[in-house]
Amino acid sequence: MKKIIFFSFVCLFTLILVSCHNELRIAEQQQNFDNQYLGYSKYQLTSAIVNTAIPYGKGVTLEELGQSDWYFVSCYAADNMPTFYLSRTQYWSANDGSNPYTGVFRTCIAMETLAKNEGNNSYIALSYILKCVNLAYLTEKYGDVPFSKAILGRAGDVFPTYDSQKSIYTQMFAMLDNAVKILNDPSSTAIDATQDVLYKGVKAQWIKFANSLKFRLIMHSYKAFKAAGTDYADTLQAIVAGGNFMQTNADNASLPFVGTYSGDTWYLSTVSYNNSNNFTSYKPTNAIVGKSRALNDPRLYVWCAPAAYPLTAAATASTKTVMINGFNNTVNYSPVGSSPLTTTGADENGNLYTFTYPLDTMWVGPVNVQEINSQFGYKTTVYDNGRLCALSQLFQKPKDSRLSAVMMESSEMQFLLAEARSKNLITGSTASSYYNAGIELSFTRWGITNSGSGTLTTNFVGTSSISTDFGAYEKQANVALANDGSANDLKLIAFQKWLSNFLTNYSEEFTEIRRSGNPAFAFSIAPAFTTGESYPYRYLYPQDELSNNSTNYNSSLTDLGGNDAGGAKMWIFQ
Amino acid sequence: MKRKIFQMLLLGMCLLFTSNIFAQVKVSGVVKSSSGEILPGATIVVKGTTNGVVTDANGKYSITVPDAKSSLIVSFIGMENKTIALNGKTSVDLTLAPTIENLDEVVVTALGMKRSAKSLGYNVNQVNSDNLQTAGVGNALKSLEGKVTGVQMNSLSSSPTSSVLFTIRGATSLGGLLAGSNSTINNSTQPLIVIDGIPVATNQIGSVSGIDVGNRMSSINPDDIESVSILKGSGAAALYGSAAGSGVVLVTTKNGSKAKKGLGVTYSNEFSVERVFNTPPVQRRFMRDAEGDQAYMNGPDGDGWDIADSKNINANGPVPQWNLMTQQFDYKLQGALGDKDPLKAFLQTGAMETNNLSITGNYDKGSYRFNYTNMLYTSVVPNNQTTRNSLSFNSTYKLNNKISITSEASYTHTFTPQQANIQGHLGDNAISVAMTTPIDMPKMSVFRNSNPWLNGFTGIYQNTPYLKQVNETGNVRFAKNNSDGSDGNVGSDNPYFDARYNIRTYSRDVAFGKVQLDYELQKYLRLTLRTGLDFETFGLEHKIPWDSKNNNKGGYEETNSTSLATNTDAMLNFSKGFLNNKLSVDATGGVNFAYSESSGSSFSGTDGLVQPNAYSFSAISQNSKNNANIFRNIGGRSYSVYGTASIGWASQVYLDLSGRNDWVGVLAPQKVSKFYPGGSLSWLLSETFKNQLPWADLLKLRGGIAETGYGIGHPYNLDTYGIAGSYWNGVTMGTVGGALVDPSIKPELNITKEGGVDFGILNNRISGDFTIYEKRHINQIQSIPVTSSSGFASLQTNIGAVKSNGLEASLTVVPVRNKTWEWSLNGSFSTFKSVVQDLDSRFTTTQISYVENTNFYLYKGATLGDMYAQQPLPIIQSGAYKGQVLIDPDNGTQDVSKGLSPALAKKIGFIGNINPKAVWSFNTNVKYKNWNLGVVTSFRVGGAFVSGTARRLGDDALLDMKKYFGKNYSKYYAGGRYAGGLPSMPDPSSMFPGSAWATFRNDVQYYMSTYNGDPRYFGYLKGVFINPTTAGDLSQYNADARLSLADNSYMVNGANPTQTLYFQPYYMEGQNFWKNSQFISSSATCFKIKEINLTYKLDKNLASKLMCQDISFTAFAKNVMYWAKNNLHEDPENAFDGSAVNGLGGSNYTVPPVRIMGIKVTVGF
Repeated sequence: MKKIIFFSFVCLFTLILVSCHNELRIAEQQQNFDNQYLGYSKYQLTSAIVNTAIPYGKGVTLEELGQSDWYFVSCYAADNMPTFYLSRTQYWSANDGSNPYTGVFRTCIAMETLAKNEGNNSYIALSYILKCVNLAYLTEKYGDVPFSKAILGRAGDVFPTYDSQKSIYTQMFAMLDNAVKILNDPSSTAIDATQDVLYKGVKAQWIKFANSLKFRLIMHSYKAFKAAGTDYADTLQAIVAGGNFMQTNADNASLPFVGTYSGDTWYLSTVSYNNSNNFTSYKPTNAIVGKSRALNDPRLYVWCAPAAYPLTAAATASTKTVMINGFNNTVNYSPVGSSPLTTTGADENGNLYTFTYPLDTMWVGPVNVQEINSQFGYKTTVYDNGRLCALSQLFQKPKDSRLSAVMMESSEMQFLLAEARSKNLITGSTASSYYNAGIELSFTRWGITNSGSGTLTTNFVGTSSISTDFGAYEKQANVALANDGSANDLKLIAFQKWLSNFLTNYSEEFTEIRRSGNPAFAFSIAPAFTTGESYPYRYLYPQDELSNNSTNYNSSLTDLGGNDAGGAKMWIFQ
Repeated sequence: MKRKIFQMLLLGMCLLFTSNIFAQVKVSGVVKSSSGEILPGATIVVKGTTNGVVTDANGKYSITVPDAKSSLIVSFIGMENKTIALNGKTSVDLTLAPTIENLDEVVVTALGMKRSAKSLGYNVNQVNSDNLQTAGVGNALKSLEGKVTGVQMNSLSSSPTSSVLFTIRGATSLGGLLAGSNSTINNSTQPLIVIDGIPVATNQIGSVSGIDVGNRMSSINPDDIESVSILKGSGAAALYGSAAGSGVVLVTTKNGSKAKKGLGVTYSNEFSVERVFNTPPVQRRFMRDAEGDQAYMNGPDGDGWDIADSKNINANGPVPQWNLMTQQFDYKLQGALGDKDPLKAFLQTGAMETNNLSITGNYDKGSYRFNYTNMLYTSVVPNNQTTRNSLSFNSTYKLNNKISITSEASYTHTFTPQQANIQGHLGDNAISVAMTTPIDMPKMSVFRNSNPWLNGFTGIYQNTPYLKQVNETGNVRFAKNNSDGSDGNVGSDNPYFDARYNIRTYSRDVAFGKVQLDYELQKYLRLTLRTGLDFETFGLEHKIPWDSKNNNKGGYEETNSTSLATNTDAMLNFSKGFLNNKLSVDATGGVNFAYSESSGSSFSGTDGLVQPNAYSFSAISQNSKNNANIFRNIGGRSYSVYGTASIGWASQVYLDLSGRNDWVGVLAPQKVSKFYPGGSLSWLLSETFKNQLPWADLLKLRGGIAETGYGIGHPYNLDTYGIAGSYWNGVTMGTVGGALVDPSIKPELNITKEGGVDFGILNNRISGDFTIYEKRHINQIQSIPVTSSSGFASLQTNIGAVKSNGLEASLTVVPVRNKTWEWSLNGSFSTFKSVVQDLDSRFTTTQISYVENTNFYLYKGATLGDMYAQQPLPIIQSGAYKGQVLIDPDNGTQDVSKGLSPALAKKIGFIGNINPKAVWSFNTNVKYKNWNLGVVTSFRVGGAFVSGTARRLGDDALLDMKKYFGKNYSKYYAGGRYAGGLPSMPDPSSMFPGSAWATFRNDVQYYMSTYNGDPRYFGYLKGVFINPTTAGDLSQYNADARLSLADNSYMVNGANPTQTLYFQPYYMEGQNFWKNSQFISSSATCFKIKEINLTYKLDKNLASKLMCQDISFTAFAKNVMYWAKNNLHEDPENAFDGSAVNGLGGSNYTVPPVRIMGIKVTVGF
């Protein structure tokens, strides 16, 4: 009996000790290899499109962070321009905080790798285009950035060198040319229409996007290249001659929102997918409100809602409901009492003055975004800064045909053409025909229709949709171009582009305003409210580079005059 | 009747042990202790036979011996054995002396081997059950505090389930450092826990749903523990090879073999109460809002008029104030309403009760022990409870003289119906909410007695006085009229709402089993076969109700996990003396197979529930459903061969050699195998020079070296492509994954060298030990941050080595030892310093962000645990103003140092080390007859911590700045409301004249417009500011450059009254606390009386009259007194920043110090 117990114990023990050694290790290794063959390039394409467009377009929410294109401001965050000069993000960061190097660039590289294995060359072309959108974003925010030696960690290089901005532009031009070449080749592979959530697999659309993007990038860098001895005017002319660029809003590189959860919902939506924000705290500045009002710009009434609690000279309070563009707004006129509401403002030249709140108006924005919190927040008992007009209820929606994540729109392309024509970089047509096309594309993109009445609509109260005479708008003195290539024409083109980029393409406007120096008031007003600082030209490199790539970081600084400062000018601005 | 049963029981036992009776000579007598106490149950055996009896209740015995020349051996637990020759006597009374704490103690070392402490060449700290005063803490590890030199233990709260963080001989893991705020410097260096030879599945410490849910050790029933040995990393630890890098804690459980012969029953009951005795001081002087007309709004903050200043407070007349009882707004004048100390008023008296029953049997053929323990704990935080039930059974059966089989099984069920979050600022931390209650809020008794819900809206609308909006049309709460459900109108939770309704429930079940066979093949050769498993399941659910401040639509989270570890060993032990026993050899060799696996699932639906009270997976958002996590790991498996030999010469010199080879990990086959050697040498001078050193009871020199490792389980260096769980408009998206691993990675090792002296002189009246060690933690495998432009956030590689040098010493003196008195004093000292010795040359200085806006810096020569401010106090670096603070008109000092280069931030931002410079402990023990008094104290010297509590209290303007800063106040500030303000203020319109100063003028005029420019409320920061008229365009200067401008670019604040940046209270005080960690750091020096225990053992004869064997009473107090060098009364040892036990060195609204007092009664039958 005892022996039986003993021997069965020993047998059991031996069994435990020797069992299942090899089988388990094989299973374990298999787990690692399975992942290699699961993916297909088409799934990566969807990720690449979404993860490029969503962060890029999210620039519209960053206005409040003090980069000050003078569009709108959050009453609570106010304007942080002084700290903008000293702020570094921890990592390379797109507008939504996502990291292009560990995120979308790797997705694009994965798409190329998989596509190569599959012999699927069109996807390689799409990868090039999307990489350019992200790369252009990075270089235009920072200056020199790592690219040709970046994302080589797997191969053992974890200290990427920086590419000069000049070489980055050259590489982007080459990538876009290459993409167009592949897509133009009739034997190139088909693009999955379902997975291509941007252009439903239509190659011609991608070609237009690539050409327009190239046109934009050349315009950004034209002056710098010319100074360095390369004139890209012929390339611009070739694009125009080819005709394969964005011409209608259907060509827009913009991804409409789906509106089912926080990740696919319009940035400012208040419909709770728990991306809750203080929507009512967003206030369009008096720059956009005042200037649009002066032009009777119909877009103002798409973008903005009247002030909810305007001050009135009347002795008693009154309330009325105002329909604008199909949205009902409640306007509560509050008696101003004995003393007028005043605040410090800055005029177009940056001179400080005392701004007196205009009575009985539904349309006024803050004149001093720096102190908006103290000047309008604390001095009233109205919670939502109701003295100022707000963004339209349209922007509270989770989705709408007008709400999309924009990478580039045809209106911008038309303004680029107008500029190029005005500067005689391209020939044929006229600057104003491109320019007017740009204005009209912007109008129609916001759902505005041409009334054809011959007169400009001035009163939008009671409208269920917005309509005006496009031609009458274009003929106004402060709109129409002289077509003489003058500085004033360029100023008008830049101003109209600034308007058309409101709430659509802040990322692009960041570069445009610095490149053109227009609208000039941003350069004057913003410094009026900071201490001894002019205008920010770039983002500071992320802390990550200072800490973990310091040698290469330091050598990149020579292109900025040795100074990683907000006021330092990168190559394209020099 | 009972007495009869008891006597029969004793008789039965007598019969059991008197199997051979030859009635020749009958001897009888009484057995007493040297102090005259009668000893019932003492064993008397005739020498050379198995004949034996036990004394009866009166200490009397009667035994028949073969002849009158026989000798008797008398033994009794706790007494020295005594052998007495009869020499013809038939009536022999015996006196036994109590066992003197002997230095020849036996300690448990690696693989469960028992070794004489004398022969060891390394230091093993063993604490036996007698010294484990577990009463009142319910956690075996917590009772080790202050008793083991060189081992630092930290725990978050007094809860018996709270995790205990170990640091053995200093943290050396760069992993802890690199994990930064995601972990703690210690969490990655937790020791291997081995119970009766079987390593446990996991001892991971961490938080789930924001709370500390304890670790495996908190599931070990303290009443089951016989002893705990700590292998600090050398010699024996090498036998655990790749798992022992961070040291080994060996737990030996109680079994029946040491119990009294026959059946034994012990019952104990302990009851303790606990109470918070020190809370951070909050100001009760100022109201909370400058305007005085928003009493109902938002969360707690205090930024307002002096309470005495009623004219200003109520300048706008009556204001709406939410009445918790009527649930309406009262329109009335404001004033002081609340408690003096709201936190103390909120926290209740906690209690813990433990009942323990153990039954032992100890017989010829074997022994057994059965134990059941029930523990019920009620926290100081209202509504927080924990219960634990433990069941264990150990038995040993001797098949014959050579073979014995031991089996063990234990099961512990811990159930916590509710544990509130007690970390972090506001949110759902009831402690934080209570602590930051402003003076105009109701007393806690009102909170307590009111309905936490709006009447008729249970589960939908919270009843809290902190609201963002009043309904403009009436005195009702805003959201009540809102048809959309919750609208986020809650500015802050009612603290009782958090404690009662934000529910985190969890249970942990641990099953442990073991079977062992010992076969004595020869006298000197023994075979041991052992297999065991440890299985743990954990489940937690978190119900967040609607209308919580942080989750206005509630939420639901669930986590489930299981882990299993099995270990199987075959060992052969050889133990024999040669050359007339001059040479002794004790060797063991064996093989081990270990296997572990884990699985789990979790989802976190914190972004809202579709319906109030709908706590289920189906009620959470699609986004949260998409992110649900389910995993199963076929875990680690390792094969090992090991051997150890202890060779002794003439009981004077012992050489220990050990080695283990592990085959573990999933790397290429040639990298899987690794050998871990260890060796030690000890020389007992007191034996060798017996004649020359007659006064020395023990004098031993010892030294050892060992190599241990850390498990390796690296993934492949490959990109992985997959399909995401997320969609765009229904279209599936792709993913890219795969960690970055250095292909030439090597195993990570810990090489410890130690040397020391043990001594005992004057009959061991003076004894002690001294150890110095060097621990080199080399080839550390870590994911080091690499710049993300490499495509990856981190690279897993061998990044470098850390060397820890330390010293441990202890001294015990027994000034008095006689029949009735014994008084002993013990002091110990330990210190260490861990420095980065080598670093991969590619990584020169790496900055790692740590808790509370601090950084660690990794560079060669760095001391581990040094904290630096992320945004240091901006100090001018050159010129006439060198050393002055740079002030910014908008932000005080807050953002000026944002974006500093790592080099400059490091230069000016040093705060201190999270570890103490040294830890002293002083213990004393006094015995008088049956009384015993023990006191344990500890003195922690040096180190620093950063107080997130101070940060937020400061930002909420609830901290009395003058008291907080003490004498440092005038270093930073002039004036200020706590210091009586300024004598006068200039005319605002005369401030900063000229257009260049417009920003300054705007800012200062705005600040001055608040508080009506009343000078009692104003002050200014001392330092300089940048003069915009001389400094030029600042946008060309980054943060570094702004601290080194030309002299004429700066102006001294306060030098010219009309060019002085006056700040209102918030901008002057609170805001600066927000980012700058130097303002909120304190020394971590503290002294604690950790425990006082008073035990009384009933006289044996008295006990026996009560039909018992032993009766003892213990009165105990833990955490009795405490002094710390910080003005917030925070306990630096409890300073954890994260949501559970992580972020050592940063505190963030944890439970304040808790004092525990209680009694324990033990009755043995």
